[in-house]
Amino acid sequence: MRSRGIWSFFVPDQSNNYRARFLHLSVLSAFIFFFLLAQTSISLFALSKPAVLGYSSQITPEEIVELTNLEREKSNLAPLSLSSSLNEAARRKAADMFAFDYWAHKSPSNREPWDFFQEVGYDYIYAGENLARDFSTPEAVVAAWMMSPSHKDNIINGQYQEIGVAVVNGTLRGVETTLVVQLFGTPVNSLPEVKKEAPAPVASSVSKGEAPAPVASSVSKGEAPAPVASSVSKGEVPKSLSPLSIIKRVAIFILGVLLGALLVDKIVVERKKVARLCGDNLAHISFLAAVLVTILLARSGVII
Amino acid sequence: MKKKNRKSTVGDYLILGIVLAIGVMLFLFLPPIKYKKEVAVLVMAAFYVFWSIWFHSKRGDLEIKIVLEYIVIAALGVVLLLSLI
Repeated sequence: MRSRGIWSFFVPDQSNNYRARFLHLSVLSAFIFFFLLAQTSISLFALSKPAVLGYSSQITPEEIVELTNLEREKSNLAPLSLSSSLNEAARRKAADMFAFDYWAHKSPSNREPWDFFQEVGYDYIYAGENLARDFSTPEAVVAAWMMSPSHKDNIINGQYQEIGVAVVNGTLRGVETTLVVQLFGTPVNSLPEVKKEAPAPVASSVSKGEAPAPVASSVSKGEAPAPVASSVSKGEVPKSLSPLSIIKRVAIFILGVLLGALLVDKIVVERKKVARLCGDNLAHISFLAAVLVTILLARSGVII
Repeated sequence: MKKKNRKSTVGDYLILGIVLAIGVMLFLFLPPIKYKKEVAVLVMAAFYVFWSIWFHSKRGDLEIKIVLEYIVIAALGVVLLLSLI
């Protein structure tokens, strides 16, 4: 009697063929379907009602600059000074990514990061670019860059003198995201001792060794695409509920239910000494616990 | 004989535990560069399915229904993790 109804989803008995119903193949497949459906619905809802489900990003350009300079200080390097031209170039780069729906250093129309430097009239000797998306805190962004040797090279490069950062919210490939564009540069006029015939711009973070073209492309000044997203400014109160955090909670709930069912199923079957042909509960518990730990500890965000 | 089998099973679980722990570490500590984490997740899931085939064939109860169960559990893990990267 006790095993009927909701109990049969957890407790193995005759009614569920001595296997908790939550662990039946059809129910496990339904969990995948339900999760994908929930994920799609939440994403679509966030797209249609951006005011209800907002961004969880708490990143400001000022904090990125501050944390970058903190890392430089640890390496006994001079802090980078904020350049309004580089800020504008970074903003244009982010707007370009949203407008043309790409996530890369080079745009689909072959626009290099350096083209944005040229667009705002920033003549450089050295230049570099770090990109990040989907992070929720500035500390996580800078920590991720510092974990990657090529991005770290940009942050603790003694040849750079100036920095520009843009943090922009928008929709990329149908997903709401926060892009962080960090540009480094050393203007030509800042180093009079450097010979004009020997400019050596530093490559972008990921394409280490790949020298960017020192001459601007055919992109003309002021040709920046219309920005489709608004910058996050300091003092703006970010919303705490993002689509990603809701999806994370749904994932944790599913894993909790399955781990509970596996545990109860194992205990009951061992007590009743039932012989049955099915997967090993301890193995499933290990795998799903590893997934749960990863989800709980992992920080969202990608860098390139 | 019974004791030997028990030791062997503990060893099998240990292998699974160690590989899963390495997978989690890789996922958490790899720089979040495009596709690196995706590869770590897929490798972890693939290992889980291969481990299950090896484990159940050793135990002598390898059935297609059981392998399907592991594939579905692995797929669920992949879907959950990839949605949050």
